Amino acid sequence: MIINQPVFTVLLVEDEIADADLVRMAFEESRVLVRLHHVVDGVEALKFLRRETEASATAARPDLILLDLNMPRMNGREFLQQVKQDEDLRAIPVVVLTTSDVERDVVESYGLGAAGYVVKPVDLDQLIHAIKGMESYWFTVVKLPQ
Amino acid sequence: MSKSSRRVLLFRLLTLLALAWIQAWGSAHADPAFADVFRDHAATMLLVDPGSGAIRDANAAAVRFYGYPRERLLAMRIQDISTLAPLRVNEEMERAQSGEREHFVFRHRLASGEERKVAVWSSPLSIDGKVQLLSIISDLTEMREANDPFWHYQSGLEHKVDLQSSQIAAYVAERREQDRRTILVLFVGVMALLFLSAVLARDVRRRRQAEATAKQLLEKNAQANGALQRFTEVAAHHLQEPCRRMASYAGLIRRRLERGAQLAELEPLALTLETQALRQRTLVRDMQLYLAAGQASAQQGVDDPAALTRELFARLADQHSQAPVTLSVAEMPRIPLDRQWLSYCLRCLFENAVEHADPEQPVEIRVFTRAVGGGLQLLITDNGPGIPTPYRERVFGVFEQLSPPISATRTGIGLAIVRRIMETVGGRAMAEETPGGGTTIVLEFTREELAS
Repeated sequence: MIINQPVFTVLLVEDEIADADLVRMAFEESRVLVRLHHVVDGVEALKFLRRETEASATAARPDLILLDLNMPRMNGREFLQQVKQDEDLRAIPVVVLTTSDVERDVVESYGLGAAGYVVKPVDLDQLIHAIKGMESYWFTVVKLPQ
Repeated sequence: MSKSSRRVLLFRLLTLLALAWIQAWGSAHADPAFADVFRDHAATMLLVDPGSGAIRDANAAAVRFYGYPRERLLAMRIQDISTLAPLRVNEEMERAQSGEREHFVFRHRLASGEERKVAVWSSPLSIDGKVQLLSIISDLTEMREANDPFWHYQSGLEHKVDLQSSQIAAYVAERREQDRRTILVLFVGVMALLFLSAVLARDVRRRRQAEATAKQLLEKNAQANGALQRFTEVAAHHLQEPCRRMASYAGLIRRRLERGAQLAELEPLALTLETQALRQRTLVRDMQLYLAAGQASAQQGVDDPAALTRELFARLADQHSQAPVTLSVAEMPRIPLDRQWLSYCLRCLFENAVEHADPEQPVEIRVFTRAVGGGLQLLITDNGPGIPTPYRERVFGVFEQLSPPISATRTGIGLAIVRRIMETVGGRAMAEETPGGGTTIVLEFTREELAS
């Protein structure tokens, strides 16, 4: 039973509902207590971060952003660029969570300011393991901006 | 004094006496007497118009000497008889008229073609108020035939002059012939050079054109290879996703089963598995279509595109949204795209129009053509939400979508296939805003495609 565990807010930017559900279930399975907000593309994510949507008006500022790369309208790379150019948002760590393991995507993502790059595992156990790893690093080891 | 010299002196004296007598007699008597003297005198005499050189009169001795019939002689000019150039003859006549000179030596041509050296005594006379030259001609040729040393020497000199003149004339003629040949050779050479230059210029131009074409083909090939490389990478990425999800959801079902999950709890997960399998199949099909679009052809064309449009729309009737969908088709000319590929384009654009439409609003689709710059545009318009300007080009990219996938059969390749089909046959595909709202997809065929 998890008591008095700090509650962190995670913004999941993912266009595929099945993947978003998987991530949500992986958080549940890993018993990591987070507030998970889900948006479907970069445009919606920016609106959320800038509190331009009803859902984000009262939501806490995300401690971590999990970002897919291939999305409609504004893809992950464009979103990353926008966030890192925004004085108010650039401090939020962005971890790319994608199926692509192409080296160019990895290099480009880090070049744009990604804090981490995680290839979506095929196996659910591995996804849960990855979520736990992120939790222990970002929510325990690392000091995040308040 | 030799015999010949005496004869010349005697001739001159006779001539002077005749002239003096003619002048004295002419001033004292009427013209008919002068005419008699002129006509009957033994000396060869001509009356010549100093202005034109026309022979106005010739006596019997002149007719005999020159050998022409009198009428013919009177129709001639002195320039016709003299071997001198006409200009020179005119100059000499002016001198005679002005009195500057009265004795001349010429060569006169007879009717027989023979040339004679003649001494001419010429003086102006006023006859009937007109100035005419009375010319008394003495044949020197006969005098020269006498064995006189002076004339022998003179004739020898003239013979040498004539010989040298003829040699000079022959040399000049030969030089002119050589010059003519040289000019001809130079002309032929210049023409050959011009021809060779033209041929070389044409070859250079053709080679440059061939190089430019080869360069364009190489660039096009490189672009195509680059596009295919990117497509392969993106396709590989997208093909992995359904597989990964199926594996993950299978793992999730296994974990739930291990915990004794009920069927109802597992059913949504199984549905996701089915959806991802369907997505996988659709992706593979669309990728095959995308690759095949690179072989699209305009050889057959569609003669009645309006009929094909109605037929395709009727087949899609079952897939229409809740809102009514109406189709308006104009009569259209032949579309230079094979039926298979035109069908795909129309079907894809109909599906997009219906899928992106407001479910509460009736969908209106219009299909028509318009002529543009010698080419032809096929336009498919709808009254849906339209495509924002920044995305009008982007939506033609592979796997590019304007909204998250709401069904397993949406892969985001449709418009990319449409563009690839059009580019393969030399045309292009683009998106515009429908006046009044909505999307217009323009399929443009060039003049060359229409002519093929």
